[in-house]
Amino acid sequence: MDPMVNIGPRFVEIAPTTMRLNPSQCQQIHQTLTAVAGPSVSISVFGSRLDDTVRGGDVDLWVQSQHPIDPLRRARAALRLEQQLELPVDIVWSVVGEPKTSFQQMIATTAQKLPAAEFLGANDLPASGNGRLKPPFKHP
Amino acid sequence: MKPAPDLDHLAQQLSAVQRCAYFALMTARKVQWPLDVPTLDEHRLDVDWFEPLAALNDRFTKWQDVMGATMRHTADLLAEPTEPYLRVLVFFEKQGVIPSAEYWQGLRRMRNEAAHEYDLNPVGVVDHFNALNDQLPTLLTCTLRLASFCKSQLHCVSADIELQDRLQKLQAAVTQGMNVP
Repeated sequence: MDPMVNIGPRFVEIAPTTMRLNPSQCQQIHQTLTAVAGPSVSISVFGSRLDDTVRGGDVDLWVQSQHPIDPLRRARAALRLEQQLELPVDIVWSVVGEPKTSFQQMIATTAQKLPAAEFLGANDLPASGNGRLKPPFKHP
Repeated sequence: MKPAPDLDHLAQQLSAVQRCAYFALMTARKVQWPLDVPTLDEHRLDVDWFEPLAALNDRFTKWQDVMGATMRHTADLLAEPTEPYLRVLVFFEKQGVIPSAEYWQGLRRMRNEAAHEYDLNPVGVVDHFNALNDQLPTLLTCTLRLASFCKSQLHCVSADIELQDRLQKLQAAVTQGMNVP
């Protein structure tokens, strides 16, 4: 039997979403968080930055690292990111392979993986200066 | 001669910081470190077991906040700029009282994040308390360095000398064999 037959829901196409972060912001997020959590870290965006009908708002990130990170290092990374982006940043941290909390399960349904800046082409740069990525952006 | 009210206030503030430090350190001694998730789960309904943790959380917060206010007042007395508050932190970083402004702000953020809904899970709780305990020696060093700085720069000492002596003895015990930045 074809093992792919019963996993239909995984192939449900998700409508492309606008992520209200520009390539430079994505790059800063990647740089800061990989410095703390290592190159294999997975970074996703959730919350209002995925909603194109609103303006402003916090940058809500979900960071999944391969190993636990000390709370003070996590706090300092979030602070650094706030200073770099000049925006409020909220980060949910989790470790790959550890059980997800209810909240993490909840955000997992809507979170979008942050595109790595090096995968963003010139066509993705915001033309109108509103700092938004054109959907659909390229994923690594 | 009675000291000027602003210096008298500083002396009171120094003793308040030291009192917070003393009680936080003594409370931490009641806990078996490091905490882990199975132990937390085992004691999940044990009020007596949780009381020192709740007290430590409260005292650690108060300790850092009172010390923050004391640093502001000290900077003010030295005619240093105090707005925005980051300038106070940068000044005390330069004086070697705190490891860095970023450290201080990170510590505050760490405390606040523990109260955040995202960390309503046992791993988060355990991580938070272990991190608080890990930072006690550093915060104690900052507290004693601030007292020393106030003495040398403003000739102002804590209103409670006995408390300061006790803290110095505690520091010797706490930091034995540890690298405190």
